[in-house]
Amino acid sequence: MKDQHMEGHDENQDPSMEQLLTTYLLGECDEATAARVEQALAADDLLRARKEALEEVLGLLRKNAPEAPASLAPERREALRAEALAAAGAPSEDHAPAATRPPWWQAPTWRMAAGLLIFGGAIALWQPWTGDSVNMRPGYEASGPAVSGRSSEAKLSDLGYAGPENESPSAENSPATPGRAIPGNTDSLDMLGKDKNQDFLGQIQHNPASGAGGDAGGVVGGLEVDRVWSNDAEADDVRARTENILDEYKQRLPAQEVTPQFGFLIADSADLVHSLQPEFEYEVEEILLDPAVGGVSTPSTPAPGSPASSAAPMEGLAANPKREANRQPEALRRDVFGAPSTVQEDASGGRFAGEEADELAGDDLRGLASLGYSGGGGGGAFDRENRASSGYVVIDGYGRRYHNEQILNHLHRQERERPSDMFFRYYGDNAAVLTTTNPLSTFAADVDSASYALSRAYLVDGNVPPKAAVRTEEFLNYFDYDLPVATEDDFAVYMEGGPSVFSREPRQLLGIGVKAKEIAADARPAMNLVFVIDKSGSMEGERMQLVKDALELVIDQLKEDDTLGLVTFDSHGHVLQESIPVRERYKLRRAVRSLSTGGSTNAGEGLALGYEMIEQVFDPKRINRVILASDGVANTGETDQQRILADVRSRAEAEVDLTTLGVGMGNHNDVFLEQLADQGDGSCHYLDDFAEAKRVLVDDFLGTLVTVGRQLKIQVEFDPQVVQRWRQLGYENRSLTAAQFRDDSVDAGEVGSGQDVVALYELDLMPEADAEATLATVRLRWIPEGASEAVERSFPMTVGELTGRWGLTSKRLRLAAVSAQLAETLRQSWHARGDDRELLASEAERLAQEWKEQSEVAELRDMIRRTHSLLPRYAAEDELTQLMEEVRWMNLRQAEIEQLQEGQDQQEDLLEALRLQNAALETRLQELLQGR
Amino acid sequence: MSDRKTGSEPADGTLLASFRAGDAQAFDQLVERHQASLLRFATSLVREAARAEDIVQEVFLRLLRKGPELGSEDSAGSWLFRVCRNLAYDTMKMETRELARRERLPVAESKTPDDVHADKEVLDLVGREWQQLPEREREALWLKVHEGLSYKEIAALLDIKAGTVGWLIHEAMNRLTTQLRRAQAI
Repeated sequence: MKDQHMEGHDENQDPSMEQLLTTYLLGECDEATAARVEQALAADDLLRARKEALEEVLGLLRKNAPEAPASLAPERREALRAEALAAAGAPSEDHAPAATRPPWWQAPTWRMAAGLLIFGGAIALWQPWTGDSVNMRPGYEASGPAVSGRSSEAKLSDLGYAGPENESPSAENSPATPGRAIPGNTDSLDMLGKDKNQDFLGQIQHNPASGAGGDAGGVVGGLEVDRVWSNDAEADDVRARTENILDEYKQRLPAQEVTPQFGFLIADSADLVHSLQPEFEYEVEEILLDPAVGGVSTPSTPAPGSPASSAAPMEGLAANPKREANRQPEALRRDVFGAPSTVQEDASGGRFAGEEADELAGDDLRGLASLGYSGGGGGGAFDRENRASSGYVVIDGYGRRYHNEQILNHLHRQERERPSDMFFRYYGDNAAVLTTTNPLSTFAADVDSASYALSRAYLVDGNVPPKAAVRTEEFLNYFDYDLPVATEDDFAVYMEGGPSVFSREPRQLLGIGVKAKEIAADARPAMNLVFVIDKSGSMEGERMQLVKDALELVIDQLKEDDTLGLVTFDSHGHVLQESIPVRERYKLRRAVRSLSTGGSTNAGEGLALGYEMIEQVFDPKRINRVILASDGVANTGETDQQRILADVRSRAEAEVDLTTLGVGMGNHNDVFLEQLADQGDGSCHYLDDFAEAKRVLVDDFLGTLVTVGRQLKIQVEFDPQVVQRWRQLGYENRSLTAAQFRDDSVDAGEVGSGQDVVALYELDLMPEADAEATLATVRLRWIPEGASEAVERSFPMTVGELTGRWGLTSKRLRLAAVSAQLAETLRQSWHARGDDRELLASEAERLAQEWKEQSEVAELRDMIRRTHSLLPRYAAEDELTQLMEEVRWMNLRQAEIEQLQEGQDQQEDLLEALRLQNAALETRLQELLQGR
Repeated sequence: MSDRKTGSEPADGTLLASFRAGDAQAFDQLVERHQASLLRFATSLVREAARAEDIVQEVFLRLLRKGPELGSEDSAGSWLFRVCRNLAYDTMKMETRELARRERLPVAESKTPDDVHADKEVLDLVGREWQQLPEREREALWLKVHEGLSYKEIAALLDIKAGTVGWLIHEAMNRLTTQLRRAQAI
């Protein structure tokens, strides 16, 4: 990279000769400039050499275009023609009357934070997560229903928006006049043409009385800012334009926390926000712009060409202290971590707009992890690729970026932040928790296997999966540990521990295996199944074949009086085969064989038809389940996604479960598919090949389709006298607060017949721990199938039950340990840095021998080999990085001590209160004794 | 997605208006006109013909249902390009982008013309580096090198200033040149 690389560039600066050279080579110079360049070339050897290099590169680029089809396949053209015929002459959706779109504040799943707008120039910048799954796990939806303490009736005027004058919000305002901004009108809205945007911003008058900016920081008028458009066309348009504005912004505010990955939104109405925002899985960061010149310049350098003169000055904003605070990413994050009640109330998570929490209950911060924070790609690393012009960029565990001074800021403990959350914020990995500060580990069970299969697909292709796609718990749960089945209860719990051989410090590894009871195949309830099959064009070939094969496998497993129905979807949903008893196998197989492909992907309609079909045969005594098979539904518009998820959830509550199968998605992690399974009380599987299909649909047929226990939650309690620190491996985004353990409205995982749920902990024991002492108590809580009340059991384990030597532990524990270690290595977890690779490889080899009957274990060994060949070894870092590490650790230690101190202070307060109360009581007593 | 149209053919805006007035065939003409360049672009991003076709089909469906308001002489190129790009990115998703920035992506087969001097490895390297370019730079460069658009046309398409286009392309060329030099490929 050039030394003078700048993220942005100043229009006013003369392009360098090098830049002119590029322009010249591409034929974009005028004569005069061309002459200059040629003159320079004649005189300068280096420049000539560069010219040759550039020409070579250009030549290579021209050769390197991938083969693209010259035209759409005939079926697709036909499909388009058919659509065109149907739609020709019909009014486009732009012109839909205002009445049909419900005002945003009435939309069922929406409250405000859908994010908004930037009046008064506050613009939210999003920083996209580096991992989608982070956003989409149950509970946390970057674009989902936002929870806010504020009344959802806040109008635009509350936001300090006085509106452009002379605009009458009329229902007849036709979008045929783009650029018109109509406050309060839920329709129109394309005011995002660049010039129009600047005009518009220029016209906003700040209304101090409204308290804009006075509420929870990071937000204007209490609303969080996000992106929204009113319909897809506008979405694309608007996005392009806002990106353009961002470009300009970047040019003028070089020191801001802006990277190429930021996107932002300028929109005018919450309706706009509502329908568009979910398109982009971005996180909100805040930034405030000075809107005096259309929002994209600093006072000292007015934007060239912007209608600065027409902008009304924004009074009061600069003086608003909240606004200053909002320049810090800290402020917004405090809000994101705010309002504990929002964490509990809204199990589906979402933005935490609004209320500044006076007190951040420690548990609730951790609860955020359950809402999707599984750690972005940063993990505290320096972003060496995108160094800002003026220094360094560090990426934290959430994938957020910090420049320069902000780096130091982000290292500081946030108010009342728990050290374990701080660690997570640094690295994106679970911390080793000091037991005295928190003795309880609570999490929701998970039996998805998608992450393992997906990671395998990446490795097969020679790539390392992104951190957020590698979920340690799914690596743990992928295997069949051959645990003895539960006989009396729904679940049997096994615990085993031994020295943790991968750890560099002497630690113990505690394994907890939960085995579900097995329903015998002939004792299972009858099933009503409906398959909803994606038949869009991209499914053509192997993928559809895989689905067909999978269906044949299922038909073979089903019994005569089970019913099976088939729904397909491309651009629309279709009924392929009405639900019929499986005894009519011939009809079913014929339907399967007739599956063809072509068209687009309308999962919403497919699911709707599928559910309808199930409704018709619904029988409370049977298993009623919809199974969606697709190679990716990520294209579904976000508004639709929200609607579909809500629908799926209510169906699950009405006892129709949904399982999702991702088919041949290549390297793509389809988070929407997983969300669907989460909300649908089912599991999500990734079928990369026939073997996996067989594993999921034949070998684990009962496990996949027959639920044995719902809402399974697990809590492990450690005794601070025995365990000094504990660290859970995995379940980062399945974790729950201690309070949520007994809250039966909180959705957890469903476990099928014979399935295993495995958890691992790494423990630092206190020296001289007594053999009789309790090491850990495991509590299980679940709702048995067919029941409505939760059931709870607990299981203790003593120190004495730990095995003394690693080599003597069972092959089950060792398999779990090796699988988890692979996951940690792939995730480049902080804890696995510099771990012994040869040891991992040799342990895997040993296991492959011991588990001969399970080819999956041999495959695990191969995956480990591949991983080692793809990942560079952890290298000793330079001085700067080491220093950063030390600073982090100092901050963490400090936080721990402070937290203990705070705990003590609280106790002191309590004690003091008690003393006073006692004194008062004694006084009263004395009075009575003395007959007064 | 070129904004140019040949001589006497009706502009996109006119075709779209005709379509909305009931002429389904007009829409077909739009498809015919733009499909090739959209397909090229989509393939350059998602690297898979079937997915690219999926995307382009979806682009046209959106044009059908929620197309932009165009003047009679306007081209739909910008709009189509943007929708196509956004859909492609949505499909690729965040992690794939992140992946592309840090790791190799399998590179689709490159056209190896009769000129056998082009070493396959070098081409692969070029492909990888291409994938790792920042989006905006890559787009601008693509439009220049593969679609042959002028800076002005690119600026109109991407809705940025022509000067910015020049800068983006320069940056992109810079990166590529540096990386290829490092790999001693040039």
